Amino acid sequence: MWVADQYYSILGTPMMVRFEFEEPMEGVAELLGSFAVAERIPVRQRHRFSLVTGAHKGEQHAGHVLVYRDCSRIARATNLRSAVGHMMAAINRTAIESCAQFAVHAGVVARGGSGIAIPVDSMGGKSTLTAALVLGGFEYVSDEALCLESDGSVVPYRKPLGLSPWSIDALGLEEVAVPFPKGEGSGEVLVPHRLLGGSPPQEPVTLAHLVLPEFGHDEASLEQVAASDGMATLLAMSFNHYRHGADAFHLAAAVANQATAWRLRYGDPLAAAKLIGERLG
Amino acid sequence: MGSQGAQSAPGTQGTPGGGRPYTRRTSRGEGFLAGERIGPPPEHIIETEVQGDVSLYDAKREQVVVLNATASDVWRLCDGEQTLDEIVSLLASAYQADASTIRPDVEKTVAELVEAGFLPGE
Repeated sequence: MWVADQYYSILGTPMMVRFEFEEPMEGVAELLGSFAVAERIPVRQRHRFSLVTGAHKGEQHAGHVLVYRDCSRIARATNLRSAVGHMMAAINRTAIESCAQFAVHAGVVARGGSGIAIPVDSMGGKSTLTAALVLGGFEYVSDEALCLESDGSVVPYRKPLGLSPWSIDALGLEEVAVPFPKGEGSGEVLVPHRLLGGSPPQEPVTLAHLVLPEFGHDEASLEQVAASDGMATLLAMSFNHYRHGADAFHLAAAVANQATAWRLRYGDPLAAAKLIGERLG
Repeated sequence: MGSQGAQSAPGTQGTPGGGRPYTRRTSRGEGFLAGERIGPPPEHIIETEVQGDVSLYDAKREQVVVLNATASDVWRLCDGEQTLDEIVSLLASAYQADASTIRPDVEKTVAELVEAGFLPGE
């Protein structure tokens, strides 16, 4: 029996992850380690996630892996890798829900301290575009959230990228050995940025460009749009503006004033990334 | 605007709201009376500028509206000092346009700002 408790801080939220398996599980540490800060000393008031072999919880769970969040079961997976996917999705949700920063649903990359954010809703292609930009040499900041401190600085949230089979195919990543699926039945996989050749930002990131994507065009094009378009999109895509509405309003305005907003029309994510690299990189 | 609270969909830019012809809901069902001043906005309306365009936040209802350049100019004149006729006249002069041409757009903008609660209405 292998039991391991690991302590992390993700976007400032303390978390504990417990594994109870017959054997140690390779690869999990890298998935978590890519975006979480390991802590040596347990602290109180943390969220707790557990992956437990089903047989330990009764015969009815034999052959399954159970996933818990704060003592509540959130998934019953048929295999270990899917269970890890469920756990990672739950950790992601918890980190975003708990973070103190103004968080916007967006992919983010950087180069030389200048950030490019791609705010778009779920299934809008942000992870694919982000992966394409990382493959094109940009530093990886996040495929999930643009997290902004009150002074406008960008807090990296470098979770493993969640890529669909379409994305894997479009990006030519079929040969990349992905250790874990994102979740059972979703068909998506979690790809640590290291496998894409991505490096973390080498210096503090300030947002320089907001790219508003529009999928479904043959040719990739970039057209500058009004800053107010950028502001409206930041607020529309925010996870947590409602906590401090006036602060979020002022911060979105400040970011929209400092960054240049662009409309990206594209069909091929690699062509779009090349265009962004040439024009904004 | 995101999962809860305020709204700021890109589609609301320009003049806010849906765009029907303006009729103010007075007790007599009439539009603005001649000489009646427009504004000022309630205290809980927070204003900021994004590269020259006005954005508004209603702190009570957590609503956001992002105005385009023309609507921003209308908003700036809704300060409680000008009547609708004076706003139309000032903008016609600034844009070198005919007052009767721009009046429907100004009325519509003011109506929508009133209806959305960013300007006082009866």
